[in-house]
Amino acid sequence: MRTGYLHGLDWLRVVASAAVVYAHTRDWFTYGHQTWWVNGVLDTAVLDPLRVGSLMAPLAVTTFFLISGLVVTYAAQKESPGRFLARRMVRLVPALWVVLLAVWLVTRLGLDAGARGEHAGDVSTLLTNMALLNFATGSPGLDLVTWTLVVQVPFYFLVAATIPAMRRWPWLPPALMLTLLSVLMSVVRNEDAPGAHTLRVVVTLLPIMVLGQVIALTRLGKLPVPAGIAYGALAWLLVVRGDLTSDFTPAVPGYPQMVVCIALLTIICSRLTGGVVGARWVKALADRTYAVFLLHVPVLYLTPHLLSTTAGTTLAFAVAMLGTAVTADLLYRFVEKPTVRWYRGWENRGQKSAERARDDLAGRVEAAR
Amino acid sequence: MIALLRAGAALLVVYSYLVGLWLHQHGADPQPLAGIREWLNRPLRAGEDFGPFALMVLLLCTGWTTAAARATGRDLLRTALPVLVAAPLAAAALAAGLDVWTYSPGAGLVPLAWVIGLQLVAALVGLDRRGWPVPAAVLCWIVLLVAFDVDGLGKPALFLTMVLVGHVARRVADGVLPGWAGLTLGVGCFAAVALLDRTVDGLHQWWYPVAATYAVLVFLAAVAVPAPDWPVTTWLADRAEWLLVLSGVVGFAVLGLLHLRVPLSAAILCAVAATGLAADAGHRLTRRLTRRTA
Repeated sequence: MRTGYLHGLDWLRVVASAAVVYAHTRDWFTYGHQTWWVNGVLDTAVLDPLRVGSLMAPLAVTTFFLISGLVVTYAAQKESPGRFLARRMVRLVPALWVVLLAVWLVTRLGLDAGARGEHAGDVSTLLTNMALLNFATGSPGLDLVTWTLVVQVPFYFLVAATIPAMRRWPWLPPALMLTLLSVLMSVVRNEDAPGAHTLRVVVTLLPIMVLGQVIALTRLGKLPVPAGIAYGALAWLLVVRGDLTSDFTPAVPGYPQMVVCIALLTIICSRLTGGVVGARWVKALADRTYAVFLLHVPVLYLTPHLLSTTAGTTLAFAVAMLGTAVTADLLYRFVEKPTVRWYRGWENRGQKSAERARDDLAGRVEAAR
Repeated sequence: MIALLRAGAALLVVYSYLVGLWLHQHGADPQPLAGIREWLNRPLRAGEDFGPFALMVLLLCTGWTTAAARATGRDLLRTALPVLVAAPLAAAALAAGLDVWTYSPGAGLVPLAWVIGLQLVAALVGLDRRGWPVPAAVLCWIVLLVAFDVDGLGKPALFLTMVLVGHVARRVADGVLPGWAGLTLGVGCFAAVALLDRTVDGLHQWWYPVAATYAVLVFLAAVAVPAPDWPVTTWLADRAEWLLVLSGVVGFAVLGLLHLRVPLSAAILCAVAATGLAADAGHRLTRRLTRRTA
């Protein structure tokens, strides 16, 4: 069983992180009716030939979903359901809450950090955002990229619930999940209410995480390659079905095309070792991708506003990137890492050193988001 | 895995350039073809019933194998023979009033003969033992092609990049080329594809960069994986080039003869079987000739 650290996925996460930051920066300039020379170059050289002009942000998010599905399946091989869920939550929640609190405070000060809605500064808004309930109730969002967690968290619960089955019958969890999602896709058709739309988003995008799980199980030798291909095809066809049966989700032309490309790229990258992909700086950047993901939109809204767009788009972009890099590093060093350390220490209380669970941040298997 | 990739490509070639193309030319869109187009081709944005994708996979495999071993005269004969046989066969079929795929303007008697031509070029590329000078020279040639507006060679030049990618991948896998050099050449190949797609008349509509992306990703994901040698994959892989050139000759002729006399599905099955039999005969001929020249 190959459970070694997947260096290539670190590299892929860094690239995906850069793509999502670029996409939101481009959107920010576009909405402000500004042109940025980088857009033209990238569109002509890469995006137009591949016919994926509008797909940069979905491309990055889909990459995160796939990698997440893959690496949590690796982690699930060693953890009990309770420990699995607790570890995921410890990785996700503290950083999320700190960022939401910061955005909420900045919004209350009257600055634009990307929060939308009339009552964005209310305490109830902060609380609903912290529980991710704003996507169900339609209340204002403080950091809109957090919608991806609404897809990931149910997947973690599904994985936790199927861990015992996965150990005995590895073919069963993906089969159960795909069946459940197929049924839900038939049921959730009306997307008028915010909650229904969110549920449809979850049901349409969860097959991508299942695809990641299938890649992991195949890599681990728990699924034969033909079965892995068959499951992968079924998961992808669910994405196609979701696309064909909804006008709003995923609402991105060419989305199924992109999912296939990213799945193949993930398979290729999961085999890469050494060289640049194994470099320490890649690992360091990969460790901060969650922080970058949470922070780049608020920082993007704040910094160019403070700087004023008269300074030019390139300078505004450079300042936004610097701001994102600094705040993401602070979030990682002073929130993410200490929380995980503290939790692992609490987990290992009273145990001899040989029995202690290894720290995720230094462990061989990445307990990713 | 190369045999499995070649076998899959051969199957897709028959599906695309015999079944899909013939039905398209005769205005038919029966199930399950329509379903496959709705559920696979459109979501994947893979046009022409996966035909270009299959050709690209075949060329990637050719680049990989020719980089592994220096091509001999026998290899060149083995590569060229399908066209040497298919061209007079197509001429004879046309003279006899049979249905043969020559409809595309300027495509000649064997419209896919250029793929065999590229495989011969691959043998030359494979002579480059260092791995980078010939691919780099070919990329420069493609830039010149674009600069001098030579549209006629645009499509073969675009597909030639697949040979280069296969060649470079093998050189990197063998440790002859460092990874960064391979990546640089790969990016160069993608740039050439994008350039040709944008500048050569008539290419833009076919979305070849999308097919090329799929082909390269599938190839790289699969090539390092060990796969069992099933008789069916070996059979298809060995006869891939024959299936490629004979689909438009034997397959079209049989389908043209039978489609008015028997149900369409039966006619298609007969045409595929006839193409397979003809490809098998061609393969036996190749073996006999190459054994004699040995």
